Amino acid sequence: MCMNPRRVKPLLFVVLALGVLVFPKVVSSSYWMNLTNLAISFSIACLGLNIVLGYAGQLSLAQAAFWGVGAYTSAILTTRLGMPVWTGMIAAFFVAAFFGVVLGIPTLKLSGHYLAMATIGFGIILQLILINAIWLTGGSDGITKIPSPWIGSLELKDPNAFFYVAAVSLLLFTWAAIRLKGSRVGRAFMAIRENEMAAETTGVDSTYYKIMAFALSAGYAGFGGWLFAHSASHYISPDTFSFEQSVMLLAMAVLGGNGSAMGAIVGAVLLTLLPEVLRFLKDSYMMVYAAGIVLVMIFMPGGIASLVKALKVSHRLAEWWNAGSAVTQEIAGVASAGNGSGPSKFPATVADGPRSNGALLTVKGLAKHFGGLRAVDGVDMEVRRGEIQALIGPNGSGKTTILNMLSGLYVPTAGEIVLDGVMVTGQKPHVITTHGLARTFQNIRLFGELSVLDNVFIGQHCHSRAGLVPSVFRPPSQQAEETRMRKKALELLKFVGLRGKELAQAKSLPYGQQRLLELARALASDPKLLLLDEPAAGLNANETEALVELLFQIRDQGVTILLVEHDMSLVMNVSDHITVLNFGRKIAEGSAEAIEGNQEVINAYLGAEVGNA
Amino acid sequence: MDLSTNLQMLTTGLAMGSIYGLVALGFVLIFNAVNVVNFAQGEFVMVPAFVAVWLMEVFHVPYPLLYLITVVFMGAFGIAFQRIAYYPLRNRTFLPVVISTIGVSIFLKNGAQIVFGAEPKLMQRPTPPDALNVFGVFIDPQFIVIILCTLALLVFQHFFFEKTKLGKMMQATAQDKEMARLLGIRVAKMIAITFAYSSILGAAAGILVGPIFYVAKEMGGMLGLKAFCSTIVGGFGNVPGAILGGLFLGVVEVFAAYYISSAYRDGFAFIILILVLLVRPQGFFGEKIAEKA
Repeated sequence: MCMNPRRVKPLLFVVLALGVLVFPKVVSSSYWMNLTNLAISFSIACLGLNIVLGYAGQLSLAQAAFWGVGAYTSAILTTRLGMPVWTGMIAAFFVAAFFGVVLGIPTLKLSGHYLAMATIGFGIILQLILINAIWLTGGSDGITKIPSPWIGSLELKDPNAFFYVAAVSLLLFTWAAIRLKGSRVGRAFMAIRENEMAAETTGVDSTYYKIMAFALSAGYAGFGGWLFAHSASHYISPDTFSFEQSVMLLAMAVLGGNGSAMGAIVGAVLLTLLPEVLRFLKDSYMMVYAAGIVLVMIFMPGGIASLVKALKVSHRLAEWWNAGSAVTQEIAGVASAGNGSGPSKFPATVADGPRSNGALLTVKGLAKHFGGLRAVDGVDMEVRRGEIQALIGPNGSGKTTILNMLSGLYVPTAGEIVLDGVMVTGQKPHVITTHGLARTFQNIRLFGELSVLDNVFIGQHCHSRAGLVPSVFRPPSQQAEETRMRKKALELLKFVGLRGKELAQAKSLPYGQQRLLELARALASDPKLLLLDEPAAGLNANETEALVELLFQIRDQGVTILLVEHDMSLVMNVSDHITVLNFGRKIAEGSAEAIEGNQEVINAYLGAEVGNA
Repeated sequence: MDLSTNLQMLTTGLAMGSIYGLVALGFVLIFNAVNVVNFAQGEFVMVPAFVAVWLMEVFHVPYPLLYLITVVFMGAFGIAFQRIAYYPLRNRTFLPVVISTIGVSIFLKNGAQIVFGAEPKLMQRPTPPDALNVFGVFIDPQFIVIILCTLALLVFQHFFFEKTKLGKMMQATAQDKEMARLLGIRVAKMIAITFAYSSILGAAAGILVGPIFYVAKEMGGMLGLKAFCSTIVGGFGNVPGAILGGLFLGVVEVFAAYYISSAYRDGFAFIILILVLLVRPQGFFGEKIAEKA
């Protein structure tokens, strides 16, 4: 396979277009064409579900309800108010998306089971409204004689003609979903799926992006509903948009492969056609279908998409497809530039070498109480600009709790935190990140399923801007931004020594490299203050030595570091200043030498002698 | 509105709430044991109701024996259920398990239709059909039976978990599987027993509610969802919370259906659910759980 994928792309488009043109001529039976249109309607709803569940990792069991919102919106506008079907189409998308926001705002603080239940509740309430608001929806009888769309003087009543509308829509929506996945917005979605806490501290506003994913997913479903309402029987009624139908859509998305747009379509088509194939089963069809769902869950966890991915052919195809891409070329470019004699400088844009020696971080009277437990109990401390400061103390002395308050994961019970002149007490983590704070975690929190490169991309989230529309349509400004981010990400990876691992999956890295990747991701947000929670935990002697070297380099380029660490030789070696905690209170601070000889510190670690205390 | 009508509605609400509470309890026990929400919990009510009707109609089994057979059957059913829907997926995230239990739920609904027919069935009442006149308040005796049986079950459960060795081993398993295993408790067995017990709670609910509603394949669906609402309203994972949440929803539903709108009867539980999630996501009795960094 030596053909250039750049040249294949237009060819692929021509093939697809021809396929769409010819398809109705080949199928010809209007029964099967109606079924195809139905499958496309489901496919688009599934693509939406794939955005909220597959990309953003939020379980929604209301997809059929949004599908219904779209269908009813357009049906009501066209039959009651006589609006054109195309107006109905746009309204279907946006009204459903609006409902997605309305449901999303209260519920997306929740996750997992709570969210599932809240979405089920929404679906049931909506169905009750469809049944009971007879003046608007026609009640249980539904709405009949829904018009077909017109193009000029041509009515697209025939399923063959309507198919063209459906097929073009499907292509566009699939294209948008795939585009989205490889963009800033898509990466933010996936970061939330992989590790919401890390996404927040990396600068992603998880509530905002979850609502966006929900709205988008609902919009997709609404559009699918529009296709359904204006085709086949031209009739809709409340019982179509049931909880069971939401489950069916979920089954389609998961069967196809959670997170894969093509998988969602394959799943939707298969489960739409399955009843036709299994018609001989008659009444027991639903049982077979249900047993199939359970078996797929047990034996095919990644759905059809993962089966395809496991094939050798698809692996080679992907390699060939990526061969000419900008990413691969740039990786090769960075790799050949500079022959890797030790770590280089990293691209810092905010920090510019040590400036004044004033305090970068000032903490006053900081406290965190969990019920009766005073984890942190009135700590004052300062971190001076351009220094490496260590926070040490025995287990349970409140070190990590302080880091969690500094980075916004915990809201302090009392006290204030000022970062570079900005009061950040109790702010959300992603806001604090934009004020110049980044952190790593004691138990590494990477975006495991994503590539090493993407992890560092997400680190730059707060310094990039591309929103939903640019992420899909990719104007030059978006492309320039991507190029800039990619360049910086590659340099950062080179800096921490992860060159050549750019396209590896983050979770596939060995432990020590995962720590380095987390460091690179934190540096990507151009922090003024870098919080490191036990960066040397689990590292061997060589790795620790390399880490020390990196810490000095990071500091020398103007990033202030506050680290929590148990490895005392490392602490004594790197720290300009040390703060010692015990039982949530500060018991000492000063230079390494001063701390080493401090009797109270020794007592805290080794226990005071009875007579001495 | 006179007092006796309100008292009558209160009794109805408490009876329905008891049923929600029993099913909710089944949810909570399974959730505490294995961290899984069982979306087939409603079918744990539908299946025993059908079994009981079938035993009654075909074999004319007398009541006490009928209850015994149904309870034993549901115990076995719970064990089989966990072996199929949970055990193979025990090391995976919650999504596959949720979908698998939904799959089993669809399977059971349609299986019931094939085995027992599509027509809803009437379960003979063990209690007299005429309402009792308690100081001018007319109360269906079946409601009183429901409330008393639920109380008895709760007392039994309290002693079972607090006073017996098996109960304590099950509690230990729910709190910390690793530690329980180290202490020599057979964790897989405890989990199987938990499912069996949860399923038996469903049997109790099914037998108790059967005579009030028609026994039909859909009877479990809404019941299961409302019971799940009860667990969230009461405080997820909280045992007394599940019962109190169930009672609360049962009572609110009856009054809201009367005073606000009977057409939206099935919606109130979910409106309350969404309100609770908004204002106090941890529920009435739940503790706030924060993820550890």
